[in-house]
Amino acid sequence: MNSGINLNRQWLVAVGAILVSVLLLAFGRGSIPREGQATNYTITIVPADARSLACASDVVMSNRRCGFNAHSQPVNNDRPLRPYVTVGREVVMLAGVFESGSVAAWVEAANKSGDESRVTLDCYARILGTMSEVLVRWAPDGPFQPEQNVMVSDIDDCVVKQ
Amino acid sequence: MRVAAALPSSSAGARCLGFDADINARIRLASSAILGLCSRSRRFPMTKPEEPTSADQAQSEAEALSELNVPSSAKGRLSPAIQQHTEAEALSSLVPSSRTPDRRTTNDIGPASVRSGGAPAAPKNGALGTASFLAGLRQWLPYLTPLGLLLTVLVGLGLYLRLFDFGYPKTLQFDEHHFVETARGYLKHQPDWNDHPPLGKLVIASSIRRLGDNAVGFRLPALISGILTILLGFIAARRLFASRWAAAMAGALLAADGFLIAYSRAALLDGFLATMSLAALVMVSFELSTVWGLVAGLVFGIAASIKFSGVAVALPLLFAMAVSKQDTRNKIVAATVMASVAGFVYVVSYSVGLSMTDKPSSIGDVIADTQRLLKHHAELTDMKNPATSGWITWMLPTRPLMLGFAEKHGAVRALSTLGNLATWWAAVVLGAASVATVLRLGWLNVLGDNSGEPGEPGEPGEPSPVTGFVVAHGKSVIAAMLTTVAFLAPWILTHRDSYIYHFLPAYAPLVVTLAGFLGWYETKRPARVFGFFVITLLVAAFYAPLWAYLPISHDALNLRLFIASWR
Repeated sequence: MNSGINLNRQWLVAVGAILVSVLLLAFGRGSIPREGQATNYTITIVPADARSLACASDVVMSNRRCGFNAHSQPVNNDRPLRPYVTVGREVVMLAGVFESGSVAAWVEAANKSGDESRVTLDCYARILGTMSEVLVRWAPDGPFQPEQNVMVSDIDDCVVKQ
Repeated sequence: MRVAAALPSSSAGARCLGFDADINARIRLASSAILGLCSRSRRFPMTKPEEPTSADQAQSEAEALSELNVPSSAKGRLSPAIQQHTEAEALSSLVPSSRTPDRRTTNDIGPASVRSGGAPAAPKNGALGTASFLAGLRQWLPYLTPLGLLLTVLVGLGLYLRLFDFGYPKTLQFDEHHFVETARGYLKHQPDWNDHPPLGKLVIASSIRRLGDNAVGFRLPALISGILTILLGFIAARRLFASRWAAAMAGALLAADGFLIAYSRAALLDGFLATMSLAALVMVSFELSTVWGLVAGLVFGIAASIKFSGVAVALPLLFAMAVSKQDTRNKIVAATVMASVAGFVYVVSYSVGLSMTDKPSSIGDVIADTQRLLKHHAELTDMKNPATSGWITWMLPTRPLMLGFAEKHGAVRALSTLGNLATWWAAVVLGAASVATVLRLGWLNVLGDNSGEPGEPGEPGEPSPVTGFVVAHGKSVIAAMLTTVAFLAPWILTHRDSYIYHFLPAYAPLVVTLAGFLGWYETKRPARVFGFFVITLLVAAFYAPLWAYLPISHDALNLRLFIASWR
């Protein structure tokens, strides 16, 4: 009798565990941040990236836009979008990385000491949207190359990880 | 309390008939008994089988005979005890025993013909076919339990995670460039710049040649090896611990473990070594013979030709020879055959590798190149790579590796070598406790014939579960522990740079030992074992996204990798 009850209870527990597992797999992987929501990026930079990285597009998102227009002409902009590659190898467009306090201080110190070493940044940002097409440049004299379907975010703050 | 003394060797029929309660087994055993053909089991006696009482034994025989409608003339040739019970069975029309085959007993050894599952011979007409099908079904009915369901789900989940988006990523991940690039080099007759023997890379090259130079092409050998590892773990547990439940548990635990899943999805060599590690363990469960020497030589040769650390498989194979009951001459023959075949496999595969890179490929060249690589490995001792980790840290582990990591639109896709923590920690603790128990009780005491299993857990003066397990399955536990220790030894004894993946071939036999323990403990404390598998399934489901590149958010990723060094 008891063993029958135990067996029934075990069936319930087994089926329950399987259901929970299915739910974990289906819904337990967190929500992917959408437009307007906060997210974080881990990127690596060198001081020269402040001059090297640039993008070209006429698209404006929440007053943020590239430092060049679609014809690769400079646009007056004190907080331009720039392209970065995350540690997960995703190309993203971020505004305000070099303008954030800790990064600006690090760049200034690095320029004074001549230190060109690379650092990792943990950046907290708000998603502005996705650019379906944009031209990006990775060096000051490099050509603009097309990238598609790139996420655009505005930085709230970055932390320099040595 | 069970009696676990070895059966009298003179009672061949009793030895055969006492072990397996399933229908097909009984049918075959009974027919063998009638014909006097119940031959000496070829199984290596790693586990002390439970000796059935004369009543149990006779009932088992009788059940088998009643299944067959044994003619009275045949019954006349049986022992009085069997005859007596046959009559009783006929009178009571006893249905086949409802006793779970090895759920409550571990005595399902039986001869080789039935151990594999006892599939009946192909029927010659439809009626027989249906009957045989139903008999086959009925054989597995006792396994249709909540625990059986969990194990099935774990295996299914493990296979799903190995196959999900298998071609992702299309580019090379982690150290794949070492092996895939050199495999490509073999096909183009370019130099091999990698520091391992050629066989693993030749296998990848062969797959690329057949399936094309794409992600599936260069990763398929890893997938096949990963699935073979599950099967070999199943077979090893089945034979070493003489329990179908232990076998199913081994399959489930190996299937639903991220460490093994990750290496089934990557064109790396350590998954191959894990397969060979379990192949060696399977070999331990067979009695020595010339054929044994041949197959053991293949296992040894292949393992050593993948990575030098593969020579570790020699230790369990030598152990099998040492404890074999064969005479010295047969042992020498088996050892000679094994060494010859292993040497042949190594030299030939190495020579093929050299010739494919347009290098001289004589035996002398193989030896010279081997020496060059060994010298190179001996110099790799700086441990400066941030991914390195000492062998003792693998027990937690402190530094599992990310074989792949990609982001897209806020979602992460990752492939981590972090295993199933329920399995990992339980296997490591059990392994340490088993080694300590063997050392405490004495090597020879554990190996020798003991009068019986110690008391049941819960009884006054009872031994710990681990002690009970080690005493009940001493030789099997020692064999598995030797395999683990052998694969750990290079990293314990030398200062060679070490990484978590060096633990993989040592981890697989640990998991098989855990399955053996759980299969044994399930007969004592079934609820606890059931609970363990509930936890194992939940942990597997929780970590599954990291084992198969399933998209996951950053926060969910960090929640799972709650130790900073895991990220």
